[in-house]
Amino acid sequence: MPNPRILFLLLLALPLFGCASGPPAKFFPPDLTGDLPAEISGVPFHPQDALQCGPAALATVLGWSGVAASPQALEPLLFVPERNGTLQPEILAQARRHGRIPYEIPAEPAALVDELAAGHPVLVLQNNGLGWAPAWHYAVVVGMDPENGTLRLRSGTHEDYDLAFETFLNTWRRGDYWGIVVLPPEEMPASVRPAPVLSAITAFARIAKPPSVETALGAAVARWPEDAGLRFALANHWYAQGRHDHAEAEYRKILAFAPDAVMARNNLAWLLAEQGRTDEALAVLPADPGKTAKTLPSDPWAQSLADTARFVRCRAEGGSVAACENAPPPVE
Amino acid sequence: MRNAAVSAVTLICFVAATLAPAAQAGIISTESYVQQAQADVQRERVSELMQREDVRERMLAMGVDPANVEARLAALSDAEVAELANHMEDMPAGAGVIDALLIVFLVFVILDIAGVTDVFPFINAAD
Repeated sequence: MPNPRILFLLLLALPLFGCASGPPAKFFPPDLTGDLPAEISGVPFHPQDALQCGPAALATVLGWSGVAASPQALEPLLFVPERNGTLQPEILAQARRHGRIPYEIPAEPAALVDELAAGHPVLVLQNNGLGWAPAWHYAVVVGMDPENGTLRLRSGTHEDYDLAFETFLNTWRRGDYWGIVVLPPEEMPASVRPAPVLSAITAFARIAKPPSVETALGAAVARWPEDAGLRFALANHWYAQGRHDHAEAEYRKILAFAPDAVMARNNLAWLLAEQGRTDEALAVLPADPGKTAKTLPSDPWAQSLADTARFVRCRAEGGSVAACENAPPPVE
Repeated sequence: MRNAAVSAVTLICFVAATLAPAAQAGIISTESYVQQAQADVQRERVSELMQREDVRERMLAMGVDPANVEARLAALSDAEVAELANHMEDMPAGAGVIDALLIVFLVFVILDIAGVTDVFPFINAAD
């Protein structure tokens, strides 16, 4: 017979369960339990000091990815004194400053399983308290034991913190299932779609060195060869690096599998006209780009295409690149 | 008088030209392509510079060391700057401790035991 006092307290706490319970989340379809690491190897442990779970968690995943970083060195770049903690966007920013690309995984338990199966530790935001009394916490999920129904975390001052699935899901759900993998440029996430991968690499490219960006875009294109957006980014990267031959080849590849990729058509025509290959540029452009701009005003790039067509024609008439770039729009 | 009017018109034209979404002649950049794909971000693009300045000031007001502000801002994407500009005061700040009254302690012990919360790791640790 349990202690009556405990029972009484549990009764008092019952309404709270109402707030806390939501739609039940599960990690697996029943048959998917193979090949999950009990613990991903090479994940260091950085016990957190007071309030420093953000720096400790980031140092943990950076260390796994091959970048030595200490929570003490990260703290002045992450901690917000007035908030007494670390904000999610700043974790992403500091991962980038260390030459690594942070990818937000889809907000669902299955994405966490996919990343663990791929050998990627996942930095998660948990609310270990409740909505009205939050205890926000960053930890790193490093493995999973389906037989025991537990996850293994590097969390706070605990190196191997084994937590029941249900408890973890309760805390993670209250953090809106926010989680990231922090990967070297050559490695792609297992659970993230091409569009958010492109956003992540583009954000990285703001401050990264060109060879790292090239590596990341190359890996992304190898993984999704027929994604127009990713290959477009690779082509633009080559263009910005002055490798116009590589850029041209990539733009042409896009148009081979995605003839509707107006942005690639635009850039290819511009690149060719710059080089004085105006016949080829005209061949790339639609017959009447001005008409396209009018009939497809919803296409975000129709106007660019019309401007580029003007540039190509100006070049075909012998104008210099500088003169044609600044040519005034025709009066209609 | 006439000079003042001309200056005012010039200024207005200048501001309008600066704030208008960049007319895209030439190569379409990857950043504008990505922003186009995220339509709501596109609308906020005009104010992006202002938002970055806003976040810089808020970081300073919230006690961030001025020596580190640039390093913290530089690696944020425009979308992340917008998120911080709008939610820096109320978004989750991960710290690992609970900011609540002592009286809540017992409730959390019970909820921890039930596996609903995990405030006190010694309760749920499986080892």
